[in-house]
Amino acid sequence: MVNERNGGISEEITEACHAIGSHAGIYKISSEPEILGNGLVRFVAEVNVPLPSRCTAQGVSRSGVQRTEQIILDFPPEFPQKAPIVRLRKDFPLHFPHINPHRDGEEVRPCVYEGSLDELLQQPNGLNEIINHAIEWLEKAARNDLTNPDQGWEPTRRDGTGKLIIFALDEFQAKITNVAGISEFSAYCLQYDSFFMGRCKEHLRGLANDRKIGDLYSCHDRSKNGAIHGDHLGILAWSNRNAVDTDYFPETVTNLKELIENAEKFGCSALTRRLNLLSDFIYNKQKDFVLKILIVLCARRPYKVIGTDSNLEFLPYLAHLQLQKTGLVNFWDENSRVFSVDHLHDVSPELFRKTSGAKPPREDGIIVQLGCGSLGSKIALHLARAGHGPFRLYDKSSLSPHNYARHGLFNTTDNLFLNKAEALSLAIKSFQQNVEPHYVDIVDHIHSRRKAENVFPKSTTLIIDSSASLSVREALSTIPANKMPPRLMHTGLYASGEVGIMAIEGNDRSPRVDDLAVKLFDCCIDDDLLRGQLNPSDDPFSRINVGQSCGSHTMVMPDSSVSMYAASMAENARKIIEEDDGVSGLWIGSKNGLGITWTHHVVGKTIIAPPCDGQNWEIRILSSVANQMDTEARQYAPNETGGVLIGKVFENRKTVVISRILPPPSDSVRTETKFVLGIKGLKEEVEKIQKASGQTLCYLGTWHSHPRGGQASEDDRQTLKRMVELRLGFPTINLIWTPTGNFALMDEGNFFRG
Amino acid sequence: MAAKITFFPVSNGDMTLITLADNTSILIDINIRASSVDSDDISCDVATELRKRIKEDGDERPYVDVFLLTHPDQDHCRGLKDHFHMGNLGDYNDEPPEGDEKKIVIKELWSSPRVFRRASKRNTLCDDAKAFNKEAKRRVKLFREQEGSDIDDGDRIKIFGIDEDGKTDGLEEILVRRGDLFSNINGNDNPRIQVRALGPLAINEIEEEEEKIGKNHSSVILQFSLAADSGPVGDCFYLAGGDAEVAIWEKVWEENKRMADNLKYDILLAPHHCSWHTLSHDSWTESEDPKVNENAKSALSQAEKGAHIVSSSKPVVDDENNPPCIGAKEEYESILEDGGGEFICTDEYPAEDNPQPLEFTITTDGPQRASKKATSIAPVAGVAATTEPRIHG
Repeated sequence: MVNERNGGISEEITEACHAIGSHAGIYKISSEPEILGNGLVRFVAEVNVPLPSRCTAQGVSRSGVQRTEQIILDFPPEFPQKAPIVRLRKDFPLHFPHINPHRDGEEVRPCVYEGSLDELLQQPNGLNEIINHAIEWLEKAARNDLTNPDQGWEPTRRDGTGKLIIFALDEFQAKITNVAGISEFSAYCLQYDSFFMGRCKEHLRGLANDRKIGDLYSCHDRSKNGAIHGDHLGILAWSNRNAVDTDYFPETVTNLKELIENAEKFGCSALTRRLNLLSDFIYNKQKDFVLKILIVLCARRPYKVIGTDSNLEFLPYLAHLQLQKTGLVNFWDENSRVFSVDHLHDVSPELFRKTSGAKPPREDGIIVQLGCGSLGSKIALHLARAGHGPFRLYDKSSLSPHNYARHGLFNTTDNLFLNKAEALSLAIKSFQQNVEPHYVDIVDHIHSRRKAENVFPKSTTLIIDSSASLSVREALSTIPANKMPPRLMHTGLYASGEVGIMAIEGNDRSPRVDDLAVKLFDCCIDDDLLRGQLNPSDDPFSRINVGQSCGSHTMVMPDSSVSMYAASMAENARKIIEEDDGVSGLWIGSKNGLGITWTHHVVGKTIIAPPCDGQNWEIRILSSVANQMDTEARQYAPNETGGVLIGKVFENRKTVVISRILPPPSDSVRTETKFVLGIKGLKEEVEKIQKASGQTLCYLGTWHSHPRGGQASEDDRQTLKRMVELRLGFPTINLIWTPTGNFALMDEGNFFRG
Repeated sequence: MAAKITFFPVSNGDMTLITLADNTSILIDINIRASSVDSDDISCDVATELRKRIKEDGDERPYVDVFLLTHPDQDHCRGLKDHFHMGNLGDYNDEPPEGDEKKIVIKELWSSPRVFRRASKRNTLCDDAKAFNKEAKRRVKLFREQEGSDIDDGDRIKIFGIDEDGKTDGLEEILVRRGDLFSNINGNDNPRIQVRALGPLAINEIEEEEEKIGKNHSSVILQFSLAADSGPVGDCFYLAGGDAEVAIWEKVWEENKRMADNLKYDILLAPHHCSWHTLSHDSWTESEDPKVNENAKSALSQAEKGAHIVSSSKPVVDDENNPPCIGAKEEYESILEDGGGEFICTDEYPAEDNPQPLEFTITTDGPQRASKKATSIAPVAGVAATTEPRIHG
């Protein structure tokens, strides 16, 4: 509620006037508040601007700032929710940057603050801060220091015009040649009352002829709310290379005559000829016909324009060219209205990277996204929105209505039933990012590329597996490190979103994704909650009726849960892409109130123990196990020692991963010549561990040390035999530690003997 | 960045920082009172204000390229031990105790030869001055030992004036004689600055005065010619002479009156905190008609058009205390009368109840004082004037 006194001037404004009058930098209030015709309340504060000392006597600085200047403050009725407009005298010199668009005869409007004055006003001391900024602006103007060549050329202020044009700066820069010229483009435009927005669509080959112009303007639609859509012609005009315009001047153009003057000032001489030619094209139009076109003048500046790496400044305008006729001669009325238009960068990875504060990638590489479902689409979109890419997307399934409950894409007619990789590629392509969708089965792809040099493109930086498929994980595990140099990040959600994992491989695929999967199961042994959540006997998948007679087997959870996990996963992916930060290892995330708590298990390089007797098995020892065996073997040397091996068998690819060792039973015997594994309590201990792992891990055999090195002894072979007799049907290992490395005796068990 | 000169409000005392366009920093005198870092005090926290304006070196240690002590009175070196590193840089403490800040490294020390004089009844020194003497002597000793080989940052020294007892023999390479013009700052020739040494005068030249005015006679007097940016020097002349008093200025005028440009200034630091004794042999309070010494005044009257005179002192009021002295202020104002420049007292700027550093930006048309800003009220318990964090939606 505005408390009004003083003939309609609010109390707040009266108080503001007093407050400003007592500001340390204000000399006096030289005109009391008065209401202007437009409802604004104006008063004028006088400020003594400190001039460079040697100009003090003249009372004016070399740049034209006077010792006493006026700060004209126009308060809107919404004050103090909205800030006053700051103006200077009408004849204030215009050759400074940071002056808002100006019309002759009006007060000059300096741009005193980079942000919104309305917001600044809400800060403590806000009104004084606005005055501080205005005074500082004048102080800098007095020493001609509103610009700094080291920082660059300050682009001409044209904010608040209510008119926008979107184009990619680099495309326009690329059009500019050393010789004065013009080029043309088409722009999709939308007008609503005084609002106007154009977006450069296409650069034309050569200049538009009358037919092309006819085409462009043929399909202008007016929508229900009165907005007009349609294409416009755009002209980009530039000068000879040596025509450099070194003078700051605010935007003042309001009609065609002034626009042409400005173009001549910048040396864009070809524009006038082109406009004349255009008026001839439309000979069949009546007098007063209005052609709306976009005109972009390119001014060459003495140094780089701030925010760019070029000296070219682009000044866009919207011209409403009005046709005049004298006899048979057509020409444009020089009073045709022209509006200055503000430029916006078009969508680009660079713009997204800047907005996100993301670093550029360490190397130009492809991101391969395996699986473009809800999790994968969100991770890929997060990365694309940070400016990363290009992408190669793999998915074989299509978008169904129920997918939209959690997918990163929206339900639009152009993506329903589209292949998920393709649908996602359309979204990413709209960000001007390169992307290639592949509709293939990932396992098929890996198999088909097995003989090739690389399974994925050579320049791949990161492979993200969000396929939620064991067969994909298994297929990926079969690829030798030399055929898959990029890092693999395996992601997945468990237990209706209660748990999420990121398994990020190390360099040279060590640890590999299967090592990290076994590490996850091993973590369950010591974590009751995790074990409960990952319990394979509780199926978190449900059949959802997605149609009257149609069901889908899916994990039920809300979009918000998927997003929380996807966001963390994308953050780690960014670290890999941007800095190769030490994120490799196993990350286990679990819901914690409104957020997710992530635990990072660092996993070292996996040790491979070659099997004796030419067996075709890969025996992988997690680094923590290898370290523990080392410690124990050295601790008991010169005696032999040993223990029990726990881990997982991937029988389809003859691979064993050992994730932990148990201490030997109490009746074991350690001597210098042999180690005899006892049996006391062994069975119970093994069963306990298997149970604790949720039956994901099992007993794999034993290990013992040969502190003096040497091959497998006859005793060792006999031991293996006894172990096999104890435990039929599965591969059994007798792993031997020596100071110079490990090797294994093993029996494949009946399973492979048929 | 344009060059700047900053005067810190330190009551009756001096503390001035010259920053060149290439960030080279020259600090002249300090008076960092313990109470000024105390939040209850209205005086300006000049230590923090100084640190805001200086850079850190590659080892993240704050530094000044040069520290000049015009003369070893306490109001010109107070706070030296607490805020500046004394001794070999090898002994620098990169991890000061919690609550303390890293000490400021002085790359090159500028001193009068007074450091070689023995302490005596008349020559008493405060702890900070003793620390300064010790540090200066350490650097001189190192110079003598290294015999012309390269001296590193933190060990360099310049001595202004010859010692009559021969203590400066052999130091010619680091000696600046009266009348010398130099641009060498911390081992490098810097085109953005030219310094003219006008003092100190030798002791035998002013024996009489020595009795009366103690250490003040030994003040280093310099005229700085500064460049606004990367152009030539001459954009701003700054004349500073510590606490030099009337007899010294008479002699300085005698020596330079034929080349009065040697004394010209765009900014003058009123000597000895605007003391009457800078301009007169007579007592301001006891003499019935104290006379201005025209020669001394001439030495201090070579003002460029629009020049400013800064009194680094308590507010200048019409009372019997001296310095500062209202009579001196009136004399200075008469010098500025035609040019439109200002007489500014540091403790009155921008307001007596809230003194803030007085900053001049050097332009190609002379120095420009910063405009007066309204500062937020310092947060006092119970009156929280806090800034709100910015929101993103």
